[in-house]
Amino acid sequence: MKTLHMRSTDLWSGILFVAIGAVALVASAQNVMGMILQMGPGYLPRALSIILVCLGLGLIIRSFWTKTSMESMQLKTAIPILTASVFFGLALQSLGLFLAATCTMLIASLSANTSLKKTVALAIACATIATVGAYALDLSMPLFPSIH
Amino acid sequence: MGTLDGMMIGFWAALAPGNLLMCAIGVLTGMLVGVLPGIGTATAVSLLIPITFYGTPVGSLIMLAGIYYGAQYGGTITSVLVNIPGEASTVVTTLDGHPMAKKGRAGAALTVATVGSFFAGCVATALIVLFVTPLSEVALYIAPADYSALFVLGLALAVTIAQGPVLPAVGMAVLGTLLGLVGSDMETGAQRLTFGILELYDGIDMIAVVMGMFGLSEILIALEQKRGGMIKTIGSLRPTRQEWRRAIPAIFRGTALGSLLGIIPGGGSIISSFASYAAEKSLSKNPEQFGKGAIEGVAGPESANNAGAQTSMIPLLALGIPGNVVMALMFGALMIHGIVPGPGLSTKEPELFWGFIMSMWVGNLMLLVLNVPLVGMWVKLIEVPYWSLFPPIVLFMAIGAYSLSNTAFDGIVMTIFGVFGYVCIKLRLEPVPMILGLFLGPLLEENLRRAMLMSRGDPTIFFTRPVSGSIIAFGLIAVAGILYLRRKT
Repeated sequence: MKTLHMRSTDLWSGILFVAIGAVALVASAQNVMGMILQMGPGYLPRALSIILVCLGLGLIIRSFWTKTSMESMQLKTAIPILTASVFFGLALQSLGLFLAATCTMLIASLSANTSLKKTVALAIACATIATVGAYALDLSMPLFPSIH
Repeated sequence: MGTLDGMMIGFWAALAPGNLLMCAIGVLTGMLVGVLPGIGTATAVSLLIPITFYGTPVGSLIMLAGIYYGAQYGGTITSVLVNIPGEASTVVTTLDGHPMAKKGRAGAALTVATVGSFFAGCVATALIVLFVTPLSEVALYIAPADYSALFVLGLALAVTIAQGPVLPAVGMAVLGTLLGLVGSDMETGAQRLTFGILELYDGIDMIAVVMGMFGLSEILIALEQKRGGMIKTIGSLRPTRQEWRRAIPAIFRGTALGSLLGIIPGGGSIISSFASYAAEKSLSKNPEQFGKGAIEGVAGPESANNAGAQTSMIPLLALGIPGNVVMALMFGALMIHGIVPGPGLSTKEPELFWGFIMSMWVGNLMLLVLNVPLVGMWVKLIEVPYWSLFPPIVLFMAIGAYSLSNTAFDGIVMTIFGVFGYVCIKLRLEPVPMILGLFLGPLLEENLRRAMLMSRGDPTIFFTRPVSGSIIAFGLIAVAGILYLRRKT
């Protein structure tokens, strides 16, 4: 019997599958199951959740024998980019495309160590291109903050 | 209407100025995406789909396809010169392409790859012309049970062909199918797995998921990696006679293998290039040269990836079944224009159908002419530091995600799947089976339901119907065969 390997890819994949499968199983409990002749809305979701949970359990058990380790994650580079990609959609209506785009670029740039001057110049250049493009394509987006 | 008439209509449609322009934009974007490591074809296609809302359906399709095969040409340049694959389908090109560059034969490697890709592209286009119409006639005899079997076959092959371990890939396919069922049930209108979130009633937008899982997570991974040095001396562009003698048979073999693997659901350019490299190495009389600059190792895979990229359009056009992520995105782009790919497309929309096919010839010709002369420009682009590349990509993805439904919601979906995609890469979980599952999930459910109604709830119908029975038999043999080959190598 091998020991539990805390960084095993199989272990964490298994946990991920079991967790998602369990949530889906609980959530689909409110849908009618039906039968194989006439499958209800809950038939396939429940069947798939059960399969997913079983696969996850299988992977957790297998992790005692497999040795593949996970690479480490670098949250420092990930967080600014993820923040930027959520920020844009939330800020667009109030800030308008130009400002929202500039801020999105600035936030994303935090992931790399570059000089502030270069970062700002790049942000403004890309925001201008995006604004002109949106104007030309007549996208339904506010371009600048509204003054109400 | 005959094939010849169709080809004529197609040529005129493809040569119309607007479509020619779209084709040029597509192949140039494709080359650019191919050259730049850290942006894949799926990302680029998903990024440009919002723009296609404003174009004609045929122009959009021509452009998106151009990106896919254009990237097969561009990816080579980075693989050969920098030893970093510009594209997932040119990974194997680094093995022999870069050693060739070290010996000063980069120019020869690029020329052979370009000529091989062009030849493969022409053959693949001819295959599409020959096979799509007969296949779409066969499609009329395919019943819901057969479609269900075909979708499961597609998922099973995507899982076995995947690069990583098999069991987790099965999990990803199941997870994707489950995610595909999120939203209102088609038959009863019941809300499934929506957790009361109004925006989820229409289901999860596949394009937002692809942007996250491929686009965002690619950027996160690229920022963690360091880049190697680049070889700037390209050398003579003309391969020697001896190099041609070794390359030409490899180009033929690569084209044949790639065309075959592209048609199979779950296949496409990536698997074609790997298979071709393995084939060249095992067929070679001196396999010890591989990895040290064997020109066959460039010519074969480079032809195969382009052939595979193009023949993977056959199932989409003939049966309406996308075999890989890019095809699923193209399906989505057509649906936005109210056009359903599949049997009947050639008679209902002959101009779109044939124009699209003929545009591939035009596009490959453009790539043949442009690829080598533009190498100098692409080399400069590879030198552009990554800090100035990724913020604009993040911005344009955010704009693209927003414009999918004009709400912040798809941006959030993209970000969640960006995190998930990043975790998946760290856990060595394959994203491709999940995306296919996400796309095929609703179709699978619909056909399963119909099949079960028609057979009065008898599941043995899948084995007793000749079509679905043979699909399942083929699937079992193929899966077993691939697993055996994987174990051996």
